[in-house]
Amino acid sequence: MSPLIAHIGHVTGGNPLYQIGAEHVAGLLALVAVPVAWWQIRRRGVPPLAPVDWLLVALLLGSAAVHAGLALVADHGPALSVLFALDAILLVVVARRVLRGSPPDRLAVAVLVGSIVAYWGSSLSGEAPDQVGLATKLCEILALVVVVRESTPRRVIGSLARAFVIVVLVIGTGATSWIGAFRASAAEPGAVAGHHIHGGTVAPPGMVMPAVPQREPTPNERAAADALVIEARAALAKYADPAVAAADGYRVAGMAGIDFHAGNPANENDGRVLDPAHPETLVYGVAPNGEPVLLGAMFLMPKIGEPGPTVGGPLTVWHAHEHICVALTPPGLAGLLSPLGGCPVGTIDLPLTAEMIHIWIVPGAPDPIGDLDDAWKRAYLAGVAAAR
Amino acid sequence: MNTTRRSDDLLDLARVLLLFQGAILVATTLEALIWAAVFPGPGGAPVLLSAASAAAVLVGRARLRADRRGTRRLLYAIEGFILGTQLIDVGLSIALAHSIPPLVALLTQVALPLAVATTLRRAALAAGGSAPAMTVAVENAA
Repeated sequence: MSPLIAHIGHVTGGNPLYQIGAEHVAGLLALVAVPVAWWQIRRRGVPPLAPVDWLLVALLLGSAAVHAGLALVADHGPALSVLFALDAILLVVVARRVLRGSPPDRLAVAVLVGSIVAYWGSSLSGEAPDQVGLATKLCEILALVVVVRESTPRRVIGSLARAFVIVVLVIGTGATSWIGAFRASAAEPGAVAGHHIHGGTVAPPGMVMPAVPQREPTPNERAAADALVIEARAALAKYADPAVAAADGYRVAGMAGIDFHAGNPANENDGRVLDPAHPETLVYGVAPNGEPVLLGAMFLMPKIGEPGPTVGGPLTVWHAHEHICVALTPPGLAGLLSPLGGCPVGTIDLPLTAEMIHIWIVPGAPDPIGDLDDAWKRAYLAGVAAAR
Repeated sequence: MNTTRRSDDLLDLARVLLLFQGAILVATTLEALIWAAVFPGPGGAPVLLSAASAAAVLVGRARLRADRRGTRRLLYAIEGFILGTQLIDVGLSIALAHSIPPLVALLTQVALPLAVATTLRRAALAAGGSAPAMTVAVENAA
């Protein structure tokens, strides 16, 4: 991948949803054909089109160029290459008609809707959506808005129906992209649960997993990981009482849910790395009877981009988060960056966090280091409440 | 070119862009609603702001006329807010991740609001009978 393209939203180890897939670079590069086509059009004399028709021509030619690029490289197999080529030809045919002054007709609607829905199918079948595919589909939806518009609306119902179809297409593109992105990560063993098996895995959207050699831990690494957990259990036991945690600077106010992270700003800036006695964050779960239960701790690296120490080899894999939407009023997580390019209005896209790792001190946790399944947490908290 | 016709053409373009942007904001609102169930921390503010923006853009599109200055101002304010937020995102992306935001974010959060605001401005100028220098240059070139 060219270094320039690699710097467009690319974070190594992240989900393809926010990246430009290597197999789609050809499609992006093929966009240079659009200025060439424009130059050809100007040489033949610029037809008198309205601005919105010029926008339509540009969008159709852009999408055609991307599809032609993908067809030429043939990274998706011969059948898809033929479909890409066919789509490119049909898009050019529609653009040519618009340039000749013919109003867009049913062929334009069929080609655009077909192309968009085919992308949904591709996402739902497990191909991870990426930025080139998403940008192309959004351009096609915008082209469809131009095609179905009425310059002088005749009936309100008709206008509303057209607007509704566009909204459905946009929502469908976003929803199928989320499904495709999560399916692509779930299809890879170890990508979602455990954080232990890596090498060729796809991280879930919003998570960045560093590449780790796919191998079993050595006896020394296993011993180091066990020692880390035992040390953490001993050091963190006092924080079972949230009042003690609050006295030590942890923000326990407003505790709720099964995965409440109580941060300690002082510990985040103390220079200590993976110190079991001074974790940057404590993790509590609230049992059904309202009792707070200390589940474990999260350790955070001091700087973004600095790798955490893997003392236990593949048993101590750190992760980071990317494209998290952060609300400021009041502060808190508000989701992940949408495939449609935006966070909820009024929130900020945090592109990357420092690396972090969880250590779970509760007895019986399936993986004491890494992820702890939500269902397991709920069952454990229910057991705690029942025992009281 | 007839200034009224040019203004109408540009308003037609603005309506297309606004419907597309409104649809994206509706989808963003639905996503915000789902996220609010997963991350209850920020309360309903992101959902409310997204819904209000979607409604304002779609209503603004429906009410858009050459002589309605208030509608244009409302749309300028929304586009400015989206662009301002995205400016912070771009700054954070360069500072923290040493990369620019994803391609789609640049298209829908920078290029689209800029295109809407520019088109509205040019439509207003065309309706006023004084096309901006840029428009005149493009027309002369054509």
